[in-house]
Amino acid sequence: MKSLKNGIGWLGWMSLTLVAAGTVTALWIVPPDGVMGDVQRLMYVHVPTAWLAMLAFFIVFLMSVLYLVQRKPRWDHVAVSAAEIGVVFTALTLALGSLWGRPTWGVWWTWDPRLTTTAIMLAMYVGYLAVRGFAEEPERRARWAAVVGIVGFVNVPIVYLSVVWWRTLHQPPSSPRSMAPEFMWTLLVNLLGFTVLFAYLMHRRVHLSQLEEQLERRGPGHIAHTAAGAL
Amino acid sequence: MSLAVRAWALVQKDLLIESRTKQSFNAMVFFAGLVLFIFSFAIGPDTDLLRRIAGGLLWIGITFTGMLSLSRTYQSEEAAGGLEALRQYPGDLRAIYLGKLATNIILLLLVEVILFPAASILFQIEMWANAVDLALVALLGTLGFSLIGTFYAALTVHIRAREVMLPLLVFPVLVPIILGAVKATTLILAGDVLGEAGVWIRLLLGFDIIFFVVCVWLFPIVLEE
Amino acid sequence: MGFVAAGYLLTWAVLIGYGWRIMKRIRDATRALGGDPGTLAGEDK
Repeated sequence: MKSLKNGIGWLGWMSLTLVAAGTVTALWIVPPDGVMGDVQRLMYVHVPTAWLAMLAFFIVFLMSVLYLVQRKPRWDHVAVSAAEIGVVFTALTLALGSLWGRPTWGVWWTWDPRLTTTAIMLAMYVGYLAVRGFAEEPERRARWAAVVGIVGFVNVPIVYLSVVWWRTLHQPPSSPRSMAPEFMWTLLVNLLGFTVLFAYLMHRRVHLSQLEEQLERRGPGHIAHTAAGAL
Repeated sequence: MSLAVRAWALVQKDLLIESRTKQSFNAMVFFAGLVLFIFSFAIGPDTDLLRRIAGGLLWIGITFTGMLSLSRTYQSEEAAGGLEALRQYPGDLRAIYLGKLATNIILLLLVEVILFPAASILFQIEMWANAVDLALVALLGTLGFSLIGTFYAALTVHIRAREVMLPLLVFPVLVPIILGAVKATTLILAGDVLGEAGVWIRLLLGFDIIFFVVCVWLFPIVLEE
Repeated sequence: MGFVAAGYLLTWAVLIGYGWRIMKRIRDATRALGGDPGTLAGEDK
């Protein structure tokens, strides 16, 4: 148990507490939405996961640029961590959106621009992670991943724009109608909780990347690589 | 030597090889024709329906056929270590990208010259009246496809399972180009009553410019050792 | 309410599962590096 406690650390406990508080508030304390009813409670997790997915991919982009400029493995570690966590959050966003769409729109899926863009974004960053899985040599892997990370991020607004034009009959994004304060607070608590959780996951995941890099440097992969390089 | 001259030398070399062996071109034409056929069978003999979705079918054919030749882009170099040699030449690495890009565009356009009339016969659509507009869309769409494809093909040269990885990486990025090309083609084939095709052509041009800038800018990083 | 419950359950399950996986990989990597996972896991070195 001691190792588990150490392993989670204060940031982890804090994020766990905040997300739990957010869930309790969203599910039991805040009253149901006047128009949408109980289904609207999904929004309190859907919005934070969507925001963190975007933040994560923005971090991938920034770190990719930084890596290409400075060539420090550290930036690559942050980039891959953000990409992996971003994929998790994007998948969650899609699943939650789908669960919300079924009772609200009557369908699990529609070709709404934001929905479509999110799905394509997910495919793009799964590709990013796949490239990493298939390139053995660390420097090359980091360089190629950075390139994919940059092109992918540049592509996101282009995809969005093209889908908006493609779906000329799209419904306007849910207008930010003035939100009652109790809804606002619930959303804010969840945003805070998930953002702290994101920070915590990032911290752990970067640590893992560093460990794996050390492992790679001394593991058999290294020997294989030098042998290939000598050929 | 200037960038253009070096790129052109590469194009000439690749086209010479291709004209001698015709290994890519024949396979591409055959494959593209088969794709059209299979989709026609899958969708059924309803000519009205086929005509309505002809734009989409054409671009599915072009995309799949293009993927076929993309993975070969750098393979002819790999066999005898030619890519290494190319990289060692003095001057800008971008010449390699521009050369390979031009070769891919030329090959794909040649396939389309056969594919479009074939589709016109199979789906009973009148294409001649709009030949200029269609050619423009085909050109811009092919340019966009090749820009992205040639770029990612270089990225996956040294990757295991590249046949799977290349489409996985390329398809999501291709979405705007495919959307634009299909929309414009469908509108033109339908007679473009509202004059909307022009918007899509301009959009395609915009996407092409963005991808051109990004890919040309990043390419040396992909190839550096 | 079924959809809402499913959404929250899914979110918690995915996040806990993902967090657990990272922990496990950190523990495995630390062990492979010859360290003691109990003491090393919380540090950033």
